[in-house]
Parts: sequence; C-alpha cells; structure tokens
Amino acid sequence: MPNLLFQFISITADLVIFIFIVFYLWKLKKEENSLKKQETKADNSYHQIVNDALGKERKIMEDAVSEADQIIVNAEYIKNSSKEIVDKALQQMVAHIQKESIETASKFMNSYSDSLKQLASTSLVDFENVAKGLEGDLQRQIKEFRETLLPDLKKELDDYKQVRLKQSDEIINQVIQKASQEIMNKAMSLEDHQKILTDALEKAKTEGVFD
Amino acid sequence: MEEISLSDFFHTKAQATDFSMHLATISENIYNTHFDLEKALTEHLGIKKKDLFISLLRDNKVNIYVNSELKSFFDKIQEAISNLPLLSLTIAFEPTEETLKILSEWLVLNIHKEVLFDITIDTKIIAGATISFSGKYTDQSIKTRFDQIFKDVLMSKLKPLEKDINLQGDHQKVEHAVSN
Repeated sequence: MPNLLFQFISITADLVIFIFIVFYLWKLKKEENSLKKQETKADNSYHQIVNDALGKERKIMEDAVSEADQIIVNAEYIKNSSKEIVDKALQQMVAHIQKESIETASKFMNSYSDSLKQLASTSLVDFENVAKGLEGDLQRQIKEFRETLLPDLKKELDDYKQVRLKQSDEIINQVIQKASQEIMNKAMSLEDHQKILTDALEKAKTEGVFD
Repeated sequence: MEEISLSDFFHTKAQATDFSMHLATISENIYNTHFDLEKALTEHLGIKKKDLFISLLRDNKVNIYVNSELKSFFDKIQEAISNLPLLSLTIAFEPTEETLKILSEWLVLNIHKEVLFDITIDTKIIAGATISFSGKYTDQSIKTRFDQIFKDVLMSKLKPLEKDINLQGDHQKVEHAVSN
C-alpha cells in the first residue's frame, strides 16, 4: 500500500511539473506572439513615415526645379534684353567719340599750326636779340682782356722767362764747374799741385796771414 | 831759450802727437837701470830718425850719458812741440813727405817759423789751398778763382742776351699792336 501512495504522490508530482511546464511554454508562446505583433506594428509605422517623407521630398524637389526653371527663363530674358541695350549704347558711344575725336583733332591741328607760325616769328626776333647781345659781350670781354689781363699775362710771361733763364744759368754753371773740376784735377801733376800750393802760401804771406 | 828744430821729425799735427808720445815713453824709462838710449830711440823712432835725434842731441850739446840732462832735453822738446803754431791747410791732393818738407822749408825760409800742419783734403777746391793761421783765413783755392772768372765771363755774355730778349719782347708788342 505504501507503494501505491508513493506512486500516487509521484504521479501527482509529475503531473504538477508537466502542467507547470506546459503553462510556462504557453506563456512564452503568448509573449512571442505579443512581441511579433508589436514588431509588425512598428514596422508598418516606420514604412508609413518613410513613405510620407519621400513623398514630401519629391514634392519639394519638383517645386524647386520648377522655381529654378522659372528663374533661368527670367534671367535669360534679362540677359538678352540687357545685351541689346548695352550694344546699342556702345554703338552710340563709339559714334559719339569718333565724331568728337575728329572735331578735337581738327581744332588741335589748327591751334598747333597757329602756334608754330607764332613761335617761328618770335624765335627769329629773339635769336637776333641774343646774337646781338653775345656779340656785345664778346667785344666787351675782348676789350677787357686787352686792357687788363693781357698786360698781366705779359708781365707773368716776362717773370717766368727771367726765372727760367736764371735756372738755366745756374744749371750750366754747375755743369761746367763740375766738369772743369774733374778735368783739371785729373790733368794736374803732383808738381803742379805743389807749385800752386806754394803760390797760395806766397799770396797768403802777401795778404799778411802769417804776420 | 835756444830754438830746437824739429822739422826733420814731423810736419803734421798727427805726426807731432805720435812723436811726442814716443818721446814721453822713452823719457819715462830714462832712469831705468838697463836704459839704452840708442836702442830705445831705434825702437820708437826707427834708425833714420834715431840718427837724426842723436845729431840733435849733439847739436844741442846734451851729454847722452847724463840722465838728468837727457830728461831735461826731452822735456824741452815736449814744450817746443806744444808751442808750435798750427797751420790749417785744405788742399786738393794727398801730400807726400816731400811735399810736406817743401812746405815746411818754405815756411821756415819765408816766415822764419816752424809750424804744424793740420791738413784736410778736399778735391772740390781743384788746386791751391785754403789757409788758416792764428785766427786769420784766406782762400787761395783754384775753385774760388775759377768761380769768379766763370761768373765774370757768364755775366759779360748774358748782358747782350738779355738785351736781345727784351728787344724781342718789344718787337712782339709792336707786332701785336699793329695786328690790332
């Protein structure tokens, strides 16, 4: 009998464990299904948002391109019209400048021609005056030179002549003296020297050197 | 005091100084025991001058064997040398002994004096001499005379030349005035 109880308890325990496990697995499956539902929901929501954003982007791009095309068309128009205006203005300016230039050149040529004629006549008169002035100055200077500088120059020349003559005399004197000394010294014998020496003593005696 | 003639022994100042020194040396040794006068004279003056000196002693009656007499005579000679007058001569040539002798004799004959020559040689004076004696001086050189003659000749030649130059200058002035 005790075995039966034991078996009973054992079967009961196994049954409880089995029930617990089945309950646990059912709970897990339920959790899983709940998560899958949430995931699907989130995924659907994400795709919705992305599609909306893409739609808006596409719309913005289309608007921008349309706007840009409009601006380009407008710019092209402005460019073309401006170019026409500028070209026209430039043509007018060129024509005006050409006309002005021709007039100015003509005036300048006339003025230049008049000035040249006037200058030529004035220069001739001035040149005659300057030439007369120079001639007068030159004559005055020549006169001054004759009156003042020429006598001084002559005097200086005479002085120079005298100095040079004196120098020449001195040089000639020295050369002749030296040459004569050399020649006479070599030409004289001892006897000649002795004779001249005794003559010198005689003269010294006459002069009273030995008194 | 009787004059002693020393012209046979020296003529110039340098020779006199040399002679005097030798004589002084001999004189110092007179009283030596082995003094031999002739030997000493030969040693200091040479044979020729020794003989002349012995003659001089004899002429002056000096007893050569009496030392005191000798000493006294030597002193006399030294005194005579120091009293000799000096004759300064500038001459153009190197004088020989013969020349000096001739000059010395001429002086003794003409001025009756013995002198010492102080000779300077200067070839620039050409010939003749400049003479200085007892504070008196005379230039008897040929150079001085030559210079004088040369100056005279040159001056006489230059005067006409200067006249020519002056005349030439005047002539140029006239030409210049005419051209103006």
